[in-house]
Amino acid sequence: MMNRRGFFASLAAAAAAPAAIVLSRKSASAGIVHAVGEGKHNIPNVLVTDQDGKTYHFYDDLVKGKTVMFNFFYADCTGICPRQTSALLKIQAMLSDRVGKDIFIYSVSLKPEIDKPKHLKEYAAMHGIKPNSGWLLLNARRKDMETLRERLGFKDSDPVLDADINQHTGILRFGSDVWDRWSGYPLLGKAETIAEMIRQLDPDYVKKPLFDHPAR
Amino acid sequence: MSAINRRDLLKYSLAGGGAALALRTGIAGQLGCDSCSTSGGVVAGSTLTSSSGLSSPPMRQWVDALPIAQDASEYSNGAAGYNPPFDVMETLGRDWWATNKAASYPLVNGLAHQRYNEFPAQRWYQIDVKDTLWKFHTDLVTPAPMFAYCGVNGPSIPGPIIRARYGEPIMVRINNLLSKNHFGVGVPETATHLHNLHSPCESDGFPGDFVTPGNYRDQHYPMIRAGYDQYGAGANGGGDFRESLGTLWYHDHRFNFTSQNVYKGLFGFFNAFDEYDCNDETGTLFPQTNLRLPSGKYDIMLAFNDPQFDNSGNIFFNVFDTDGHLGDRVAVNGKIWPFLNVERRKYRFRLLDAGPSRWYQFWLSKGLPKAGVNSWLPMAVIGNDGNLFENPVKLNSVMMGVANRYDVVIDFSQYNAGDTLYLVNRAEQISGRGPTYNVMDPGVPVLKFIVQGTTPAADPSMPWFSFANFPASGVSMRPLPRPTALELSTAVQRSFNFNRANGGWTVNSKLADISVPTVSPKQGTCEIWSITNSSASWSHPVHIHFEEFQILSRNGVPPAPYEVCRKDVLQLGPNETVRCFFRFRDFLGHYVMHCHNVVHEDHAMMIRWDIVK
Repeated sequence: MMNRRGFFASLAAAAAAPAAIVLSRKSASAGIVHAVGEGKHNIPNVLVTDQDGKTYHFYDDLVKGKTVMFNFFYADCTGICPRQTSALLKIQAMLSDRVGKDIFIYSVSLKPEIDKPKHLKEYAAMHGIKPNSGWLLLNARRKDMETLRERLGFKDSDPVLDADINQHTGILRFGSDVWDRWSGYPLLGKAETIAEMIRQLDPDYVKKPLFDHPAR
Repeated sequence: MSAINRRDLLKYSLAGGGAALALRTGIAGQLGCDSCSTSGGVVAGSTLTSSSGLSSPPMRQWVDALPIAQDASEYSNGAAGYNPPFDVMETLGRDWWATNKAASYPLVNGLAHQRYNEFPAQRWYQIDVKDTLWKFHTDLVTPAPMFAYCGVNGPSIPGPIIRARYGEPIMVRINNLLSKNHFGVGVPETATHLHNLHSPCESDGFPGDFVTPGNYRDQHYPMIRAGYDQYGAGANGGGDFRESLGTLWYHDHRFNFTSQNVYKGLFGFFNAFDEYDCNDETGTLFPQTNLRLPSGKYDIMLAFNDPQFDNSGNIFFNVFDTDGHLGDRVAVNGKIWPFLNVERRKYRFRLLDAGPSRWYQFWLSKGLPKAGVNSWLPMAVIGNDGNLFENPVKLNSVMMGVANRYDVVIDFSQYNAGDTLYLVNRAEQISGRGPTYNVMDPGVPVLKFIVQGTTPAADPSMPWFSFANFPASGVSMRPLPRPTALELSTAVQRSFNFNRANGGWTVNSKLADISVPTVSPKQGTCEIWSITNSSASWSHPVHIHFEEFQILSRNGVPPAPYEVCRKDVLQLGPNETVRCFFRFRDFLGHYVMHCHNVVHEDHAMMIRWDIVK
């Protein structure tokens, strides 16, 4: 019987040589365009470097074949970032059986000129993000970071808000590249709900209702 | 109301001068929007902007016939048709709930469904949900892989129609037969919301209560009218006869994936009839009260949605665009640019904006509209959000946010064989954030009517109605259960301020979260909700489940005639505040209020509210 990776590979092969997507206008802000049912997408494959100084191709090395969650932050942020990091620690703990194996967390710095890998490593230590725990703090060149932000839906379409780094998006984007299922939720929402939604991306996971029902 | 209505005044104040006012009134209201909560100017425009930047391949116009909704599958042998069998103790379906239902849904008097013994089902339906391939247009070579509800003829987009009658409770088994290993946009899990029936919460399609592939859920629709506990049992569902609903629809509501699943095809029609709106234009049924609205094949649901195609004809959806999806083609009942042959008589069209994000402003044109040419015809609008007005309202256009409905009567008797009329969308929208409130000239025709017949057709419908005598005097289609002075003075008042922070939605400055109720109105009480949109650049069609509301004021002034009715989707434009009156009745439990731009909804623009004892 074909395993899931094989199933995925055959689907990918069927969609090989993806037709160039013709963007008539606004191509820069077009984001990722999915064909319904086909999983065609263009998550950027830009180079990113983690807190240990290791460099990866974003899509090929970090997303392909995995379940992932992304957020954006910067080390000296005193707004929502510390609470977001603590929320991600909670979610990581709730998914501890899978994070680092088939689920990965990526936090991309919004200030790549300042947040060099060694600073990201200090940030990780300061906040209790364990080494090799499946959570990478990523630095990319500014141009590449902007590409990631734009394509992954972290750019506010209001330019005034977008220019205000204190209003940077607090959405946690999560999805399964294996099943091409993508969703998002405010990272400061209920951690249990987010962890359960991430488990539910797996078709074989036995799903439970997301919310308790009150007695009537 | 004077010749200059509230819209003009608003526009006047926005324009800050007399020019706009002169334009608006000088052309007898033909160019501005007379059914918008905010009004802009007139701009050139004959195409629709897509949010992805893609352009759909060319397609010929008016080559496919308008699909008419198929019937839902009903069991003539009643409950015996269900396999596995229906069991009132197990009615929430096989799934996680089958083993854990007591924890999930506390039973009430031994029943999984509230008040089932009072309203036992008399009609039994089953709607299967399947993967399917759907061609949106003859010229598209490759059919699109979609999800679909199935009726007597199999899968269709939109799904089949259920025509229900007040006083005949029904059970619908939603049977999820989607492939578990679905790949791509959408998730194969369903939570089916019947928008906006007066149904108990366990059958409301609460977003967290979804059903996985291979499982089903039995949803109970009691077909009683709101106010049952106050007015009591009686003919036609009892309750308050003024609270009958007419034009409803059902759609998927799976938590965080509503936009993807609705875009994938999961929406369908539901009509409810009673002693006034009878599904019998001949007047045989309920001769004392029958409004004789056009019925049968002259009563047509029209669902509008906007798929985006790439060059190869595949349909696209950007799951990373949180503003909303805008396609550059409009499908009407699942076909792009369809035509409908019409007889020379009156028709009732029930317009539905099926989303996911586009707003429409529909105008009726004699012949193809041309820029600068006034070819617009007034329409007799008989209902808003599925509910009949007290009297028909004459409008040049209807503005619709996602999930809004308008019931419109068009009389083709005065035209000749071969004449053509077009339904034209003139709402300018360039992002998922909301419409610009500009009116496009000439706009984008989406549906063509071709008049047939050398003489007018027989038309027994609406003998009390004529455009020459408008509105018809002495006819009240559906009286409005206006709040009493006592209700207004004792109503609990609440404010909901919808705002945005760090790309997420907040309600009263808190991140929206449906794991806990934000408010819990008491059963049998009434409340006034003041709903504010604090942003200057977003528009939200806000939907409140279960109970209809009445608008008391919009930005401090009384509502325009087309909003003097019971509603379930509030058009909330930039910086608007609308005060809405609610009564909470008959059932208990958890419901939601959310933005029906379902992309916004999926990014947590939703709150839960509970009705409690």
